[in-house]
Amino acid sequence: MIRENQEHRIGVYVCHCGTNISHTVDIEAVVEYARTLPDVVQVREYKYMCSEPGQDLIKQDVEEQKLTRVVVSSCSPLMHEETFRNACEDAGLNRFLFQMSNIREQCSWVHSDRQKATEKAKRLIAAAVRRVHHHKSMEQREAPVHPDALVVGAGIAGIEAALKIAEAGRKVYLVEKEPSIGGHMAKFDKTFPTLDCAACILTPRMVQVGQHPNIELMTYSEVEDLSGYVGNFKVKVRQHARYVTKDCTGCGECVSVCPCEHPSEFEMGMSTRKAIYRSFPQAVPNWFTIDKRGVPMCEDTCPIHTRTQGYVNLIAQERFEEALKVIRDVNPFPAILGRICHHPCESECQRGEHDEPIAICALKRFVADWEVEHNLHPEPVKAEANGKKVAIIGSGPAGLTAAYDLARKGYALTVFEKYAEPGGLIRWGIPYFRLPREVLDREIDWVLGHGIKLKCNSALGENGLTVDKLLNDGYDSIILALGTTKGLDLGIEGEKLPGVVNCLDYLAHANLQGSVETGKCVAVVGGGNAAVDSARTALRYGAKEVMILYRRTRTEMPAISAEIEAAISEGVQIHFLVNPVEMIADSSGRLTKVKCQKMQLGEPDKSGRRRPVPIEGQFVEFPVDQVILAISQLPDLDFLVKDEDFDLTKWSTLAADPDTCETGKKRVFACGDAVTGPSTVVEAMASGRQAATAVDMYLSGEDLETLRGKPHRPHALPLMDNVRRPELPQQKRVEIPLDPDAGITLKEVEKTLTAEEAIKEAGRCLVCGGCSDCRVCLDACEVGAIDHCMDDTVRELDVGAIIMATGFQLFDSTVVARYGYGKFDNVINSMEFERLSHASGPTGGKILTKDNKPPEAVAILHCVGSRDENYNEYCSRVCCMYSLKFAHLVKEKTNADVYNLYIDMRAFGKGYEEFYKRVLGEGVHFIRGKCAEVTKVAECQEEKDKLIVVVEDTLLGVTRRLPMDMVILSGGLTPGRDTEKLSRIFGLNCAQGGFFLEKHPKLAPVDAISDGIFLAGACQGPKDIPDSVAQGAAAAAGALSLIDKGKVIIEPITAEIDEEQCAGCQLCIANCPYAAIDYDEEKKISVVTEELCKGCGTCVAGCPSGAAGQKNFEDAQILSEIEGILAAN
Amino acid sequence: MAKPKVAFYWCASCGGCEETIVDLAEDILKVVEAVDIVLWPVALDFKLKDVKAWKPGEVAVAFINGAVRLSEQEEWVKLLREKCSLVVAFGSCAHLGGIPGLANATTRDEIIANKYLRAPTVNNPEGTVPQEKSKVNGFELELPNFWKDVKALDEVIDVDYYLPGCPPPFETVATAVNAILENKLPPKGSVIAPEKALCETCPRNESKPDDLTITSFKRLATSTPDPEKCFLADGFLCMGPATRGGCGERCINGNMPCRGCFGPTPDVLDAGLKMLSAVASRGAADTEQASQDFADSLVDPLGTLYRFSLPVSMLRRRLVPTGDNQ
Amino acid sequence: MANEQFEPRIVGFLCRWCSYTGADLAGTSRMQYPANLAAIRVMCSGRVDPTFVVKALKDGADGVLIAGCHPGDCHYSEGNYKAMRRYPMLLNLLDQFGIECGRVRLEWISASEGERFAEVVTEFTEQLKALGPLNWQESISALCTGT
Repeated sequence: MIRENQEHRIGVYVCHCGTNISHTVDIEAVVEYARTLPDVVQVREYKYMCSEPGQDLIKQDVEEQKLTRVVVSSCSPLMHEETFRNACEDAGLNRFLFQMSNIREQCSWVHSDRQKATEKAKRLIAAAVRRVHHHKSMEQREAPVHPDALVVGAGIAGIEAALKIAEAGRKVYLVEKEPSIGGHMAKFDKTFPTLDCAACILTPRMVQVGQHPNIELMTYSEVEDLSGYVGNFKVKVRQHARYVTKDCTGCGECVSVCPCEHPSEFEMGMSTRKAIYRSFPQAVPNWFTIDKRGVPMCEDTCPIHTRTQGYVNLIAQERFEEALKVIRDVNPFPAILGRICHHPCESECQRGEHDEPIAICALKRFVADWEVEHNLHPEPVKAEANGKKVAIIGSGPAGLTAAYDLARKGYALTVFEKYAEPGGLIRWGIPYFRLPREVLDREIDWVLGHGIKLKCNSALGENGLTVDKLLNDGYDSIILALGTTKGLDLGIEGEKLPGVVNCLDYLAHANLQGSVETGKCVAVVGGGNAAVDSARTALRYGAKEVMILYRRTRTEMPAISAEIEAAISEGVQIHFLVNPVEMIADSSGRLTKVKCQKMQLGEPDKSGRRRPVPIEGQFVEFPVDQVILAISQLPDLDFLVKDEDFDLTKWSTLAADPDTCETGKKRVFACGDAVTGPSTVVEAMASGRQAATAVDMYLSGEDLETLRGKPHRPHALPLMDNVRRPELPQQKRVEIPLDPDAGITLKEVEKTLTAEEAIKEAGRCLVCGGCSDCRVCLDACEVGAIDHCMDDTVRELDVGAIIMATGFQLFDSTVVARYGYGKFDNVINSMEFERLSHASGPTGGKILTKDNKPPEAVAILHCVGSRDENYNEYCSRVCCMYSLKFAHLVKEKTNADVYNLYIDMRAFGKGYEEFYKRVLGEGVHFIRGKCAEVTKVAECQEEKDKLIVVVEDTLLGVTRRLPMDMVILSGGLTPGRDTEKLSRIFGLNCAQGGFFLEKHPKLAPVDAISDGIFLAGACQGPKDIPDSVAQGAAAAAGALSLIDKGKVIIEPITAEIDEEQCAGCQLCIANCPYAAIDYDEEKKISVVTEELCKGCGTCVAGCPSGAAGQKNFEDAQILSEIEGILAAN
Repeated sequence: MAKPKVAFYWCASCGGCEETIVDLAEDILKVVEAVDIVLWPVALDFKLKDVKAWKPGEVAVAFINGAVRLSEQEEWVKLLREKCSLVVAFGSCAHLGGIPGLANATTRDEIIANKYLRAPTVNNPEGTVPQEKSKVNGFELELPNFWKDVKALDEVIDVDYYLPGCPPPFETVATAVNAILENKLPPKGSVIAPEKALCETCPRNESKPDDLTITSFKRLATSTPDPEKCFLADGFLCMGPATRGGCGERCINGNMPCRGCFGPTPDVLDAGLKMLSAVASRGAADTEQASQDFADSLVDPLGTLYRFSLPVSMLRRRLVPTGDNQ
Repeated sequence: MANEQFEPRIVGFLCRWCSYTGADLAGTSRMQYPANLAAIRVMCSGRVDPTFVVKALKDGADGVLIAGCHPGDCHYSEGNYKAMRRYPMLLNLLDQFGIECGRVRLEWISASEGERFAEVVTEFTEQLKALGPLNWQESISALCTGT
């Protein structure tokens, strides 16, 4: 036995608890036994120890008998420990020299065998007596209480709680996750039993909350983290970006221009709202919110981040000019890119997960062509000159994009071009039949129309045009956008033979001169767009047979898939897994054959494509008279690198900073293919934009380092899951029309979409981003309250008390498959009915079936998901009454027959029974029985096209089939969706059914298990409005009494570490979740910070040397408790 | 003044503790100068009758090493207790039961069967096993009784001091001898070693990370510890945090985790359980299955956690169902 | 050796937040279960030192129950995970000491699971009846004498 030397005088007090304990436990025997326990000098029994006279017995003995320890055997310490500790303290004994043993909840109430229960009670008392020997006097810690309060959830309970606290003069933070306060009640039509309209009684309270100087409303916000303890909580609240500032006047102009519609959560998906929306007209706060769910993949993948969903959704609404404006915000070449872009956006399109991706590229081309067709000439926007000059070398897509961006910022631009005409690779590299010259010219002219000077036939390095000269000539900065102009050789024998040409020369000749020397049998080597373009060009300039030789397979071919298809359909043959090793000439030196090594695919290389490896000794020969090499290209920089400020990379490209585009020379930036190596047009444009941004920042004196490592915003989330929406039908994308007359000529092959096709195709967009980011609302908002770049903010609040009023969610009726919810149109749930019946709901308050007819028969099924062991066993308390209300409303608004199918009627509240009687008198049919199923399988003529409700009428004992037009499911109340997450954050327990557990079901119904946290409303269990309001007020009273007391007592049960024993092994430090233990470097021991320690004792059990202890739960105390339990009998 | 008399005796021991004395090398002469060694079976020939002839209290101190398992050992130590003023439990076996104490994880019959019948090198067709009494050529021979379990010295006789270690480092021996000679004795029952655990002086303690976690235990048989890292952080079970320091970190410096020969720190009921609790708390497991896997990675917890202390642990020994022949 | 008359003695270590409250709930709900278990209240299942378990077995308990909040629900965020990790290691050790693993049980019982608490105690009591008494003290005395 663990001994303590000191002698004690222990008093033991055994409670009868009326007969609660004494009817099972033989009190007399227990008392006799207690007298035999060591150091026990006084044993008493009493009817109610917790009563005043009971406590007086203890006080009297402490004083007269000089007791040094007290044990009370009665109920659970969770019930009365404090009571008896106070009694001890009143009598002058330290409150911790007391121990309680629980012989009621854990003995007399759970056992019926009197003898065994008595034995157990003896064991528990012996344990307490042994334990109390080791108790020590301790002082309680006091901490001040922060005077502010937090209310989580702004439904009617939270509103009531917040108002009560605010009225008492205390500051309240009211956090609500939805954009508006009001909770479920805001959706209700009428309230039972008085039938007053919910809005009429709720909205004034909401307004009061919104205007109260002591309430700080935080809507669209969620609590992320809680730390601290009663009286001194620290709460982290994330305020989601609503993209509308509080300057919003609620005028709603933005709504009329917004192109995106989503099912309205507030209307239970029965009508739609825009991406910029306000849940309902009386919302508080009355600001709008933009529903952004992250950057859509299409926009994120696009190298120039075109706001794709923006223009696609405007096209869907026939708002073509606005769509073009969205495109041109980032892309000056909609017609060009609409034809030749490799459109990575389409492969990422979320619609592709459902059926097929949106034809984004074709839609872009459509609006660009529509503008031409309608002879519209958008005026280039000219910015006010800022007095700075920038020279751009190269008029390819990179150079022109940079020029476009800078010109719009007021820079004076001069673009120098080596050739006679601007456009770079898009002019001389892309064939007519893909990109007609007039399209190209028009868009380049439009860019130049922004006040950009163009100097053609001006090659850098020729005629004295040098970088240094330009800098001396007064250009503040230069952007080099030189492109790649040198074709790469294979480095094999026979490459210099006549008949072997490079694709760059070949295509440039064809595209600039309109003619090119072409063989009869042509082989193109390579797999990129240049190879496919060369092959198709060769067909058009007289080749009889054209083949592409590619060393990997179709999967790895980098060319645009549709282009490959087109080439094959035009007769181009593609030989895969072959690699030319020799060009063979005949005796006259004329090219006749190309010899190829056969290849196979090996391991993937760095690009992720499988590397081709030769199959030893296997060759194949193709007879040809011309070979076009389309392997890769390099920039021609020989002239530039004479200047030692410029460097080449190991890939022979121009060295420039990948984030800031700076070259080795000050004020000179570089972009485009010359830096990145060969890329696509849109990638080159992105590079040009990057350089323009850098130059602008540089010339504005901003720090270019901020360009590094920009964080990405989150991608679009999957489709809405919070509102039931009809099954999205499968719909294939529009087919890109081809010109039947084009044939294999220089005429453009693909045609533009018709307006009808475009609108239909654009309508397929799911707007997975929520908001399409078209930003037309910016112009519509007169007060400038919209900010599309807003970020979430996280705030830390200090509060003394917390009220949870997080409400419920309606039972999900799809789970009860036999009732057909989600399957049959006119089976609706109770919230849907509320909206249907509501004057400002989707039908304007008319109760109509899905085909807009008033129903002739309506069934209301009670207890859906409640009082049912398959779903929830508890009664949801409100369904009977709201079902009566529904019955009344249907009767009032239609001529329908109304059937209520109930198990029992529960009308327990004030005025409820009277309401039941009233509805009974209104001719509503009541059938006692639980609905078996709702079916559409008709068994007779009158059941045809009806919903048949099958039920056993248990009063009549017959099964009935009732043909109905509408079935309303009175679903139960279930814990809110985030209950589990919240219970973790706030350290709450959940009771049966999953609602938050209260401290005591009767005596502390609004106190949570954790001190300082109170519960209000349906988060604690299903309840109606009056009960929720009452609890809100009660919780406020709890919070206020805590705050007004100004201090809290903290149990001194913290861990402590014995300096003499701690060897500094530090294992306890890792065990503490509160970082309450630190290593003292000087003393080489671990030290507990009492303020942070919450007293779990985990570190104590994990201390290998026995240096750690826990006050009031010391090893000696627990060990002697064990001894006591086992020593008895 | 006559030199104080000193006795050395050994019970169930490996002889390693004697090495500590031998390790004194020529310093042994100084000891002999100061004291009179009256019993030392490893070096000098004394008989039981010589000891019986001593007067009670005549000998100043007996240093007894080894655990107790034979009736003969019991007889000797009781005799020494009677004749000597002080008894010092010398080394881990006398202090805690030591390595011989691991025999408590099995039964006497198992041990005899393994040793005399089952071992592959044994040729014993008649199945002869040692008997307490046997007759050979008409002579009755006697062997001491082989107990069912191993005991630490203080379970058999009253012990005044403990010199821990396997073997005790001779510095602590010198300290103890000097204390006796100078009559500056600590309270009876003291363990002559620091109260703090080994981590305090461990050169690797600084390398211990704040969030020490163990994914699974490594074994010395299959892995080599990082010579710089805290063994626990490296995944080896080191008994250092639950074991008294003062050993001079001999094992640690040899890249061997502490195995606990100095025994538990004061006030710990059971160092093995404490250590188990400490390392299990730091496991990386977050599911029941992972916790089981983590636990299973500690092979032979009993032998690891109670390598030197099984007989003095709370549970003392393996329980064998009653009715089995032990 | 199952014994009809044998009433196992069980010591329970219940965390104050979940399992002790759950046991109280069993009481307020008047659920019946055998009187074999007597509970000791600790602040967290993480406080349960394996020493306590062994102490109980050594001092005459036939079984020990440790009960805490469900994983993820610990009032102290992760104390119960420590209990969860210690448990199988302790069982492995007890097995080597010749003590059946069925004598020590770890359960997650939330404050709302009064019924579960009653079930666990009932089941555990039955299980221990089937295992028979541990009688550690007597068994060990028989093993610790000489001849």
